[in-house]
This record gives sequence, C-alpha cells and structure tokens, in this order.
Amino acid sequence: MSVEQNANQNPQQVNSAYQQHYQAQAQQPQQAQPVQQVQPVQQAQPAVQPAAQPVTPPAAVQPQAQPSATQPIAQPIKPIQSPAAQPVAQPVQQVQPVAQPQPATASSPEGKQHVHHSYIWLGSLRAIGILIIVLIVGNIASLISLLEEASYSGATSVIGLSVILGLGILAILVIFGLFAGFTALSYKHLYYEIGPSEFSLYSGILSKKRVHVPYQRIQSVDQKASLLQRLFGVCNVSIDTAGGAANKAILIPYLTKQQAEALKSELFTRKLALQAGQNATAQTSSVTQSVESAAQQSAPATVPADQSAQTQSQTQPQAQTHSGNVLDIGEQAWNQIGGVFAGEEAILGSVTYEYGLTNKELIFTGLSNNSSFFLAIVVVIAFVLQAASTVFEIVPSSEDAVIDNIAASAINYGVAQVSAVLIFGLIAVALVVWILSTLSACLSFGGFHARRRGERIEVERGLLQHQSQSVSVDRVQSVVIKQTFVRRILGYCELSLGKIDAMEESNSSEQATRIADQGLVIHPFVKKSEVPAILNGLVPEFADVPSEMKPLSKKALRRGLIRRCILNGGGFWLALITALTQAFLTVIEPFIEDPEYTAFLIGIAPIFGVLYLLAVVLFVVGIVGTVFWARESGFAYNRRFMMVKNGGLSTQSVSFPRNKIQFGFTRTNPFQRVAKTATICAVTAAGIGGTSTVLIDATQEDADQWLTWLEPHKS
Amino acid sequence: MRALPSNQLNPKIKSVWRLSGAIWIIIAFLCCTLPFVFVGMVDPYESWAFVVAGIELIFFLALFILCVFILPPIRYARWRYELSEDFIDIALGIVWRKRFIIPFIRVQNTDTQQGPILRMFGLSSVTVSTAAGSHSIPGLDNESAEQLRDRAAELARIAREDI
Repeated sequence: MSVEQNANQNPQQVNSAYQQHYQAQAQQPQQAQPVQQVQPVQQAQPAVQPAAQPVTPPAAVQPQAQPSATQPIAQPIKPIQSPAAQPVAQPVQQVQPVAQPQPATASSPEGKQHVHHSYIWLGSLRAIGILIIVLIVGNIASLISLLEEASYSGATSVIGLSVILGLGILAILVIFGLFAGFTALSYKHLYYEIGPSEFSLYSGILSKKRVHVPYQRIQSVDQKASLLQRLFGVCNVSIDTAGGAANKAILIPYLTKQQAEALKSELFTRKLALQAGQNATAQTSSVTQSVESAAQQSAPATVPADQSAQTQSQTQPQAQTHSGNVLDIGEQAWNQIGGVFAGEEAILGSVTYEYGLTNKELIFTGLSNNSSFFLAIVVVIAFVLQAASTVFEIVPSSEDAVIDNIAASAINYGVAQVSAVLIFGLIAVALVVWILSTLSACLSFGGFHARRRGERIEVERGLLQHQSQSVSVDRVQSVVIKQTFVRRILGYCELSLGKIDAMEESNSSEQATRIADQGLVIHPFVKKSEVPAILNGLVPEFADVPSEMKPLSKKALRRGLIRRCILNGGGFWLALITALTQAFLTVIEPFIEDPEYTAFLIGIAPIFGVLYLLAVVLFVVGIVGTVFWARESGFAYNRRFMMVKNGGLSTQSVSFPRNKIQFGFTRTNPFQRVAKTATICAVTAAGIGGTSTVLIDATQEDADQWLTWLEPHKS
Repeated sequence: MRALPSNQLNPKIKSVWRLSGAIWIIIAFLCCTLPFVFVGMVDPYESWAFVVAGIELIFFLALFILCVFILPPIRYARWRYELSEDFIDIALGIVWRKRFIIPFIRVQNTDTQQGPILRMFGLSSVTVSTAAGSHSIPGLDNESAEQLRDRAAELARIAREDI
C-alpha cells in the first residue's frame, strides 16, 4: 500500500527515470559528441552472465562509469543519460528507487514466466457459469413443470426433486473438476519468455504453439479486464504488432496488474533500446527521423518532470484535468483497492495532457449513445414480432365463437385494443431499454481518461469491465469527428482516432476474433468548440489540419437527391412497395368475393396509412439530409494533411496526414462525367484491412488537382 | 482534365482476355445447358427443355460476343498505367472509370503471377500490395514486370518500416 501511495503521490518523479531514458534515446542522434554516461546509481554487482544483456549501447562509456561488463543482469537496459539531463535525474532516482523501470517481476526475466494461477480457477469458473446458464435456459420449462409437480404432490416428489437437483449439482461439480483439470494442464503449458531479441508465447498441450514477436515490431500493449478479473486484480494483455495485411495481436490471459505493467514497461524499454542501438550503428535516415520526431515530442514533456523534481508539491503542473464525474469516485475506489492480486503500479513516462469526462458529458454520452438507440430498435422489432404472432394466434380462436358478420368488427375491435396496448407496451419497453443501455454506456465510459504520455496516447475506460488501450502517435492514421443527429443538435461530437486494428489471436481458441472496429475513442461527447484544444493537447501532430474547404460541385445536390432519396431512398421504396401491395390486394378483391376478405381489407387500411406516413417522413428526412449534405460536405488539403467532411443529418469529418494515405483514387460513372463531377476516395490503413474515406461528387477539377497532390514529391 | 498515363498494356493482353473469357463462358454455358439438352433427348415429350436450351444459347452467344469481341479492345484502350519515379498511376474502367495513384513508398510487397494463359503469351501480371489493399497490372511483358518489381522493392526499402 505504501509503495502504491508513493507512486501515486509523485508520479512525475517516478516517471522521470523512464522519461529521461526516452529523452536520452531521442537526443542521441543530435548530439555533437556522442558521450553517454552509464547511470552510476545502480550498484553494480559482479556480472554473472554478461551475455544475458540484450543490448549494450554502442556509444563510448566514460571511465568514471561502471565498466559495462559489470552491469547487473537484472537490468537489461542501462538508463542512458545525456549529460544535460544528468544533474536533475540523479537525485530523483535516489529518492525513488522503487520506480525504476525494472524488468524484474520475477527474479529472472529471461526465463519462463507463467500467467497468474487465477487462469485455472477463474477461467473454469467462468466456463461453468456459462454452462449453468445454458443448462438453466435450456431446461427452464422442465424445471418449472418439476417445481409445479412438487408443489402439487407433496413430500414424495420433493424428495425426487432434491435428488434430481443433487445429481445436477454433482454433474456440474464433476464437469467443473474436469474442466479445471484441463485448464490446469493448459496452464502448465502456457508461458511466455522475454528473450534477448524477441518475446515468445508458448501454449498448447498436444499441439504446441509458439508465437515470437521481435521487440521492434511491438506497437502497443493493451489491457482488458472483466468484472471478475478486476475483483482479483488480473487482466488480459494483448500485444499488438506492426501493421500490414497480416496484422495480429497476441493475447496473454490472466496476468496480474503488476505483471502486466511490468511486462509492458519491459517490452517498451527493450524496443527503445533496440531502436537506439540500431540507430547508433546503422544511422539509417528513417529511424533518425522517427527518433528526432520523438525528441521533439518529448522535449516539452520533460519540462514539468524537471520542475516537479524541485518542487514536489506541484505534481502535474501542465496536465490539464477537467473536473471529474460521479463515477470517477468509483474508479478511484477501484484503483485504491486494486484487486486481490494486483500488486503495485508501475508508471511509464510522464503525462503531458490528460482529461476525463465531466458529469454532464458522461450522462449525455450514455443518452446519445447510438448503440442504445439501435438496441432499443432491435428490442422493439423483436417485441412487435412476438406480439404479432400472439395476435394471430388469438384471432382465429375468437372467430369460432361469433357469427361471421360480427366477426369482422370484433376482430377490428380486438386488433385496435391490442394495438393500443402494444403501442404503450412498446414505448415502455423502449424506454426501459434505453435507460438500461444509457446506464451501461455510462458504466462503460466510467473512469474514462485519455492522456498523452511521451509519444503514446493512452485511453482507459470502464467501471466494471476495464480496458486500457494505447497507441503510438506515429501509428495514428486519422482523427475522426463524428456527430450523430442528437449530438449535432446539442452541438457536441465524438472524437476518435483511427488506428490499425488487429485480429486478436487468443491462445486457447484458434479462431481469430475481431476487436474494436471503431478506432480509439478519445472523447465520447465533447463540445465542438473544445475539439481544437483537446486535439492540440493530445495529438498536437494533428493540430495543423486544413480549414479551407473545397465544396462539392453545384450538380451534387441534384444528383444527391436522385441518389439518396430515390435510388437508395427508404421512403421511396417503402411507398412503392406499399402501393403495389395495396393495389394487388384491391385488384384481387372482386375475384375472391368473400366478405371476410373485404373486412380484412378494411381492417388493414390503417396499416397502409401508417406505412405511407412513414414513407413520407423518411422521404422528407432524406431530402433535408441531402440538402445539408450538399451544403456542408467537401474536402480540404494542405501540405501535410487532408480532411474530408461528409455532412447531412449526422456528420463525419475525417482528417489524416498525407503520408498515411496508402493510395487514393477517383471514380466517375457516365452521369458524373456529364455533370463534370468525380468521386474521390482516399484509403488509409486504419481498421482491419483499411478504411476508405469517400466523398461523392467533388468537381472534376478539384479531383484532378487532388490526384496531383497525392503524387509524392520528387525527393 | 488530367492527362492519361502514357503506357498501355502489352497488346497481347487482348488475346488473353478473349481466351479466358471464351473459356469461362463456354464452361458456364455447358453447365447450364447440358442438363436441359439431356432431358430433351431422353424424353421426347419434354420439348420445352430444348426451348430453354435455345434461350440459353442465345443469351450465352450474346455474352460471348460481348466479352470476346467487343469488350477486350475497349478495355485495352482504357487500361493505362505509368510508372513514374515515385508512384504508380493507373487509369482503367469502361463505364465506371477509376484513376489510382499508388505511392511506391506505401507498397509493402510486389508479386508476379503467371497463369497458364498468360504464360502462353509470354506475359505476367504484377500485384502491388499496400497495407490497405492491392492492385494488379495484368499483361506486362516479363521485362517490364521485373522492372516494376525491382523498383517497388527498392523504394520499399527506403520507406519507413512502420505505417
């Protein structure tokens, strides 16, 4: 506890060692005299295996420093100090020896490391839980009948029932035992190794599987924990490798929080060290560039760290913290309790910008949540189907009882009554579902924090199910500003970063599962006017987006109306289909000559009315949306960035740097050629397998100029 | 209007398209028509089967003429590419015309493929893949295919490793 408290109180200090390590790496290529000092604070022990060191910085070691052969093995990376940073860094490290990015979670980082033992019991507990639920849901009818029987026929069947229950419990226990045995076995064969040049994960009982990842290819190390896992302070870690077509993430299940943090810091330390090593020897232009950019980014970041080393009371002078929300308290409580096996926290780098959600933002996030709306609609449809089937069941039975003539009106009456009940029921259900999903959205965004740490952007969220994701700023493909209709009216928007998503490769199942496809949400609900400030703080690299929009062609409105309101217009097609159906039903009426059929026709007339009304509403909404779209859409580009805005009732604007465009193309169909417009399409690598950003009907000239802009400059 | 890219494909590609189109259409035609022909031959009363077969014959004949005689020359005329210093410029399409710009530094790998028909005419097709999809240029003679591949490989080496 005390350790954790220390770490919490002085995050800047804690970070500084790692931070300066970053900085030193970064400054290396710029220095005139490449002199590195080995940090004298680490008391060297006689080296047992000098070979175990993964990387020795190739730069000259000063004589006053420890000879490199005597470096401790447990410290695979020597925190390199540039002479400038030296005087500040030294006292800090003495104050806070705990916080050094020690690779040692276990005593030997090089050996096998198993995941936490909760893998066995928590994993099988979860499986058993699912099994029990499936059993209960599957046999609920027979269970109920058994219970009823028991309540009718007294003691004998109570005995029978308890025997059955006992047997069931026994069976579940046996299955649990078997499952636990199996997981224990697979636990034994599941381990990872932090090797000299690559990270390896071994798994599989019979068919062994190994995954090796070279450190340089590691892009992010993310954590995710379910509620149960959080209680016990464990989490699943996924390691994302460099992108491309075959982009895969490795999943390591059930690591303790401490293990996970240590693994993360270890992996990144090694990655940096390898890059630095490569840089010093090879001096390739590309790496220098990236490191230089890293230097620029980390330069402002070091200032607060140094300041806080002198004045300890100021913890985060630059980090902007918006006022928090109610659920932050819960989040803090979580962080304090930490979970049973969580262990102490490790902190990497220093935070230059951080924000959470205010109460209002959190609540509105939940309220304007798109998925909640979607869910409500799904539930409503399901409910309608259910209700419709019951209505059709009821109707014929009532038909027997009454005479034919009365039957029709009775049916009508019944339908009307049922539909009134139905509508109220629907509204109630939709409301309940909406409230529930609002709550769940609030919970899932509870404890939301986005921060910039060195070169990385980190996002944490989830009060019950926690997940923390991070992405290096070079890997951010695009910044997406989305406004749904509700958000648009309120003047708010959702901010997210497009990044290359990976197919997650879990060790237990061969199946690759798809993870988050909507990019990294960096703010779910933010006022439009605050967007520049947030982007400036979190991703200053994207602050210079172009603003001068090239609007769509004048013909776009006409073409858009035809396309969106007629060809793809739900309202138009709905009206057409309804009209055709109605016409067909009316035309065949004389041939049927059945009073019941006529009554039926009269009965369903209001339904057609409703459908027409719906069609008109859809049509008008479509027209309004198209007018907005034609007015607001457009694209812009400057030397480094491109921005595409697609307006309408809900708007989306995507901006991305030119060097993230994998390729671009323009597309024209004959009508567009007549109207002298073209569709432009820029494809980035965001998401799985790339994302195309499309703008329909820019003018032909603009599109051609854009293609010219897309051509790389002669180097 | 932007000028079209300068290079056209190797003219032999028209024959390749014709041949492969003809093969596919004949196979599809046989699969669809033979059952009806058999039915008509086995059972003399089922003369409708021949009618169906006849309609299919007309349909496939039209398709054959379209795909073998009409489309390949137009497609050939529309298909243009240019390999400049830093990027590939492709223009293609008859009705829906597309114009691609693919910077070489985004190309992750290039493959050369040669099916039996292409091999017969001494051509190969080159596929360039980026992190977000791939493009192939069919019907390059072997020499320019090699050249393209080398160029892409060389530039890919200079480019930064990460996306």
